[in-house]
Amino acid sequence: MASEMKGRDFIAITDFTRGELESIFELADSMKKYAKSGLQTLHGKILVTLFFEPSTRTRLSFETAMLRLGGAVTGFADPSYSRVVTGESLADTVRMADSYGNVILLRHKIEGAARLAAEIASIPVINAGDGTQHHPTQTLTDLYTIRNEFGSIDGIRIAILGDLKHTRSASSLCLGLTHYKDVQLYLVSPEELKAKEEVKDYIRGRGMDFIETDNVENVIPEVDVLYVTRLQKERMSDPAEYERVKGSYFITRQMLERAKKGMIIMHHLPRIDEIPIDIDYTPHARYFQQASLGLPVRMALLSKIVE
Amino acid sequence: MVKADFVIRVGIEKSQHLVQDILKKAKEIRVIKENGTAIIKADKLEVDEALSTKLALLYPDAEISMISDGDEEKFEPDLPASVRGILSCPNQNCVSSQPKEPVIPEFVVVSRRPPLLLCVYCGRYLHQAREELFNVTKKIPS
Repeated sequence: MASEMKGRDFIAITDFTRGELESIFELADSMKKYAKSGLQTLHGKILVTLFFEPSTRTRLSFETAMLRLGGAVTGFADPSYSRVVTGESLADTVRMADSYGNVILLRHKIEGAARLAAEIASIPVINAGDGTQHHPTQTLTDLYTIRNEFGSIDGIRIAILGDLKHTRSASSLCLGLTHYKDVQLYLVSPEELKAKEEVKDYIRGRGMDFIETDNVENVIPEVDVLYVTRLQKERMSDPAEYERVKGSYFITRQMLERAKKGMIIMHHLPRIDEIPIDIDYTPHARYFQQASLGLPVRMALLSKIVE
Repeated sequence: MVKADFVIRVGIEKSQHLVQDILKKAKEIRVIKENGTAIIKADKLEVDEALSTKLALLYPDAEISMISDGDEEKFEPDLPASVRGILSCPNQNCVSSQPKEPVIPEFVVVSRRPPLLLCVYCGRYLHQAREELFNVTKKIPS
């Protein structure tokens, strides 16, 4: 029921049940036709964006979603234009946003920042990514893309490739997939960039199978979805770690010769060199469609939770 | 909270720290060292939530007995399902480690033996609690 989601925070993809995610996806289906024309359902409501880290897709798609729903947007895309540079705490910044808007969208490099914001704010807080931990609306978009492509997420065979240690989109997707049945998950990474134990223990605890490997070529013929991630240089504490693993994984057209006909390649974007431009012209590329689906999904999410 | 006479048997290497931990919470403490083990007798020791958590996490191998009517009765220090405001998170990128933010650190106890805790803010495991992590400064009044 939509009303049960009003006023709720969205900090981790596991905050919502499978049924609640499905209700967002169903609403996103009907939002697609309003992605250009717009609605007035959130007229008079204000989205406050607090971006302590850079963003292109998440911020722009949320701002567009709010404007398309008839609402308004305020906030900052760069903390250097706010009082944060003078040393203002996150808690005080959130208190201010809480009094001005109807929903807060927060991105921060500190892990748990969104959870703290949700404890302080009386209005809903949406996590737009915190540290290496959660990115629930990216996962919402990823799951919706898979559902859009295959009709269902149950039974999907998916490989997540690259920097699984530092990429919040990868960790968050692993958690999100546990909502579904018979998912076969391949975690493909060099030793240094393996998924965190906490994430693996969680998915084990939910009874989901996964296979860890460092060999992408053997995995490609097995999967329906190849989810590629970028090396998160900015989150690596040791610069030597980046030098050791950079260029570990990139997809080539030759690798895709053994892929299933309907296999799709996804990426949370931005990419660096892990997906060369020539892959864009193969029938497997879906990362731009994936990014565009972020708009109806976020329109649906805002519609569900903003009171 | 429990207040009683206790006998704690622990390896000598840990005994000095343990005595420091219970010093202010007992009326009197005597230590006897035998064959690599310290036998600590603590009279009228107050075992509150903080001390109980500390005993469970820092001294999981200690044998603790409570004296009841002259008999020794095995005592298992209680470790609640979640530990709040007693232990700090070692992850410097966790919001609960930021000095300016009003956060009381909180952990979910995943496993008691061996002790394994999960920070509710950063989602990281705390595999081994260390003495210095117990020096928590509460940033908001309880």
